[in-house]
Amino acid sequence: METILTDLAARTVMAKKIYSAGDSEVRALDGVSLDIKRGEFTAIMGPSGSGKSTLMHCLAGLDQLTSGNVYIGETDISKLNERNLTLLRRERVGFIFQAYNLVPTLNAKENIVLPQRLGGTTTDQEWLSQVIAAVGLEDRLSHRPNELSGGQQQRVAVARALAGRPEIIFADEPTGNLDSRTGAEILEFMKSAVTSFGQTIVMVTHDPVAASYSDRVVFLADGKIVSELQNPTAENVLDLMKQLGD
Amino acid sequence: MTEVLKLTLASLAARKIRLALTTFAVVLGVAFVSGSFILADSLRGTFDEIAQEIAGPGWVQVRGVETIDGDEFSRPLVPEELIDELLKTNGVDSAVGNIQGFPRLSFNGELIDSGRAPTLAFNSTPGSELTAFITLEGVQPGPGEAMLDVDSASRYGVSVGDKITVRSQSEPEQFVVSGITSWGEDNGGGAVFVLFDTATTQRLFGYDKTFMSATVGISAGFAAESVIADLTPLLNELELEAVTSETVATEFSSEFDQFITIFQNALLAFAAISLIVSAFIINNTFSIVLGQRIKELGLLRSLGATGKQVQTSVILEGLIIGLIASLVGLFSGVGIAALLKILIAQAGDGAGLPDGPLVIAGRTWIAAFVVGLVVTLAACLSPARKAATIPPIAALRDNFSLSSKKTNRRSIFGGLIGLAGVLLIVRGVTSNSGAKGQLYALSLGALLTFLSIALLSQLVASPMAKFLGWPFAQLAPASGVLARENAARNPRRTSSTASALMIGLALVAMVLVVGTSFKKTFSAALDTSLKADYFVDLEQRSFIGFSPKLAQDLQNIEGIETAVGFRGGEGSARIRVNNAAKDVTATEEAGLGLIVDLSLSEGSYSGLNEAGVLVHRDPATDLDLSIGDSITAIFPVSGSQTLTVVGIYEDGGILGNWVIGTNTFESGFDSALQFDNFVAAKLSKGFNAEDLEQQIGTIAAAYPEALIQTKSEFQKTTENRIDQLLVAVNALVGFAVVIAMLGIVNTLVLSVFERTREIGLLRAVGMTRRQTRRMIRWEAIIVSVFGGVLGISLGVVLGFVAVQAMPDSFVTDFGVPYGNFFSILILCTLGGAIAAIIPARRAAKLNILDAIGHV
Repeated sequence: METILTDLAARTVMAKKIYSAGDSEVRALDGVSLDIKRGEFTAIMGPSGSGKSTLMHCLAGLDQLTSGNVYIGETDISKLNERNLTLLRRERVGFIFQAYNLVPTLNAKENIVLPQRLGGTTTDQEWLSQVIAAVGLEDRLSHRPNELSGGQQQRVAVARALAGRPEIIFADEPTGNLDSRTGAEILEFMKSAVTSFGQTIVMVTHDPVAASYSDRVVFLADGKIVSELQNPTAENVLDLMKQLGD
Repeated sequence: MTEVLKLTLASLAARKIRLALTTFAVVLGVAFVSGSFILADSLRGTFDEIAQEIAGPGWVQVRGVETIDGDEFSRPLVPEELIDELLKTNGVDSAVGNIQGFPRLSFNGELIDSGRAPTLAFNSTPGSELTAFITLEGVQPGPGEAMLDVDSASRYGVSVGDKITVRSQSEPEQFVVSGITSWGEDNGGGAVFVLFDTATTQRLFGYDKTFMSATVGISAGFAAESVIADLTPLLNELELEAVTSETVATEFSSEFDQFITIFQNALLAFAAISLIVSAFIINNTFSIVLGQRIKELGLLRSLGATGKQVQTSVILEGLIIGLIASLVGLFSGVGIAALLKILIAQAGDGAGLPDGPLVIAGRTWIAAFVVGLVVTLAACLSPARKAATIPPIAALRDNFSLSSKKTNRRSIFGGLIGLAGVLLIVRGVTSNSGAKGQLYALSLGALLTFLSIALLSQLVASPMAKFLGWPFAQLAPASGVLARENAARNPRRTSSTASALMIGLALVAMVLVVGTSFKKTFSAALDTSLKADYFVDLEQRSFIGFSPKLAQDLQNIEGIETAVGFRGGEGSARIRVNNAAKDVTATEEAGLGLIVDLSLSEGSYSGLNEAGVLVHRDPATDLDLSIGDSITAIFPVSGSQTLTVVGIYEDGGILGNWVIGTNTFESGFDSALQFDNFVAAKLSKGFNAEDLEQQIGTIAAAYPEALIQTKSEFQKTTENRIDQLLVAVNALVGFAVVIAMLGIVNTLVLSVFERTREIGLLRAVGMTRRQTRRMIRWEAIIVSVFGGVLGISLGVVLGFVAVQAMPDSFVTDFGVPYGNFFSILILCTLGGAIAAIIPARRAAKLNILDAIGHV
């Protein structure tokens, strides 16, 4: 049992998130139990309102469950206070958002090492060069976000997420704001981070092509896991989406 | 129009904190203005009441015609035998002569003193129906007796039958208290006073068969005007005049009115400073808010609102803020007036202002609303005009920003204004247009300089923010760098916010520089031109100097080489030379050169006692005077007199521009002025201060009103007095600084709002709440220290200019209070940290998910 646990980067146990609005209540998450294996690229899909974003936010320590548990590694984060949650995000989790990933006053390099700076620790320089080289940003390091294209900005965001070697990276529609070619580049980087560095990534997306880069797709509907695909292709993801939609 | 109003109201309601902070900034400025008016009007009301009491039932005053305009003591005296003549005149019912003197009273060795007004003595006029003095206890004074006012009697525990010591210019005398009196029903005015019989009063205060004035009662059925007409031929011969009681009351009121008006205008000047700072803050707030509302306003435009309607909505917002602020400010003004009263009382060593209700006059209402609305509208005009140019497409674009290409134009404009300001300042320093003209030129010049720096400082805001933020960046590489970059990212915003603070601090720094220069000048004077070992100054603000006997007593001590007194001086004694009034100081020839060195450039001190005069270089040049020349001077009492110029000197800082001998002064001026305002003494060779401690102590006990100090004590008390003045002035300027600090709060709240998404991101990737608060706090500190640096730099320049502009008789040396400046920067740091409390808390409490989703 112990060995199985350490193979998991994150998991949820009967995760419930209920929003009450007056008399009615919305079950954004309705008892989700999900294991995320180390070194795996997991995509979470589902229609709008399925709870996929809520699940990711709760997994990442940005939001709190109504009941159930979330573990990052072996830490039950539903028991952590605000400060420890922040430290967990800083040290053990990486983020890539859809847009507005970067602090406009900091240059690319400063943005990449921001979490470590906040923690007062230094970034492993060798690793950092490797990451920067992987995303091809060597000559853009001193540029501020407004001097970078959308794709370059997302690459900086990927580099930032990788720089601290977090146990897990959460990406929320990371290619949602990009054209398909630039988006493909970013997904390629993410995939190679999983294959070459053994990085664990969880990505929320509604794009079957994006999902096809992952190792495993989890489908959510009405706050519940409804299906799963291993080694997906864009076609079979689309097929499954059609089935589920019917 | 109504739709626009609805939109405006909705926008205001949606951002209550912004509304509250912006309004508060205007409220403080308006409150200061209305507070100044309320306080001044209340004081006027109180003095008017006293004047009414003086006027009472109709009577006529007979008095001398002023020899020197505006000099009450230049009136010829009323001869005693005139009283009988007056009584013979048709319609005259009664006539009594009046004398007012300035005695020193003590009881059991303790000085009886109000601390807020000179102690007065009057002759009692028993039987006169016109007297305002009421006998509360005992009887009217006979020879060797005195009546004391009721408030002093109860304060010092004096009762009928007790003995009090009375000193004027002569030997101390004991008087038995024959009764307790009151001036009017409530003993208004608050001065200490005694009544003596007429002969005693004349003897004590040197009126030989004369009176200062006479009060004439009118018989029933006669009009005051007709009695005056009948009296005029008789009076003209004696250079006397007769006026009605109403005239006397009006003169009394207008005298105080002048004083109150000066006081009111000084307060209004400080209020104006606060208002300028408020305008800066409102302008800044509106500009920032506009930038944040571009999408919203663009949407309005795309839905069919005209540019004009958008502009109107911004102006309406300003109008509503102005209205609310005016109303709240007006009533807060009552509080300010009460606060100022307390401050003044403390600054004046307990010399308070007369009590009276606080009055909100109609004029104050108008002033509050005009000021509140004008300032707010003026401040929102340029943002409103810019709002009209927002195109509908702005609603659709994410990064639409209003053109800020105008930076160059702004800088050029700022440079031009600055040039105009500097020219005005130079003009103010160099022109001879009189103190008032100079002051106006300097004030306007300073205002333009403020504006110019506010416009130009954006050019240095980024590098300055980076420089000032350097220590923070070293302290914490993440939140420190972010604080620094946040302060540097929007140079115009940072410089506007800092400039608001700069204005107040520049004035504080200027005042401190002038004060320090005063001290330096003073301490240099003690080393070079005022070489005394003892300095005798007034213990309290008792207004009237010491008996000349004090200098004599000092002189009689063995071990004192010379002790000399100084009479008259700036504002207290004037002669007329070439038809212009000149302040004159009198002293003994013996002390000149030995104690006081005037830096003679021509002639000598000798001959001063033989109707000589010493003249400062400036008037000597103006009037083309040289040694041996005779000038005709008109004295209030002795009239026209010829003086010989015996010396021309360079240092006008100690005794002013005209110096005469004490004997000339004695014959030339009223006996009420025969007091030494200052005494200086020098030790004989071979003696030191310790040897004389006992004798000096005896004299100090005999003259409790006098503060006998050694050189170092004198220097210390003088510096303390300068410091007290600086504190009072800076407390008033402090208002503007507080308003500017509110401006920092305002800017930061708006910036935090603007950066919601960014802060959400930072929190998501691991910035703790504490780090978030620190980031905002440090940004605030960078901005406020930037304001402090700007303010201090400008203040030093302005202080230097002010020192140059002031006459050499006030200040010659230039000094910079480095210690104070350091404290100001520390206070800026603290102020910034306090200003950051609310915005930092708001930033730290942002819900991360909402913040990231914030558009």
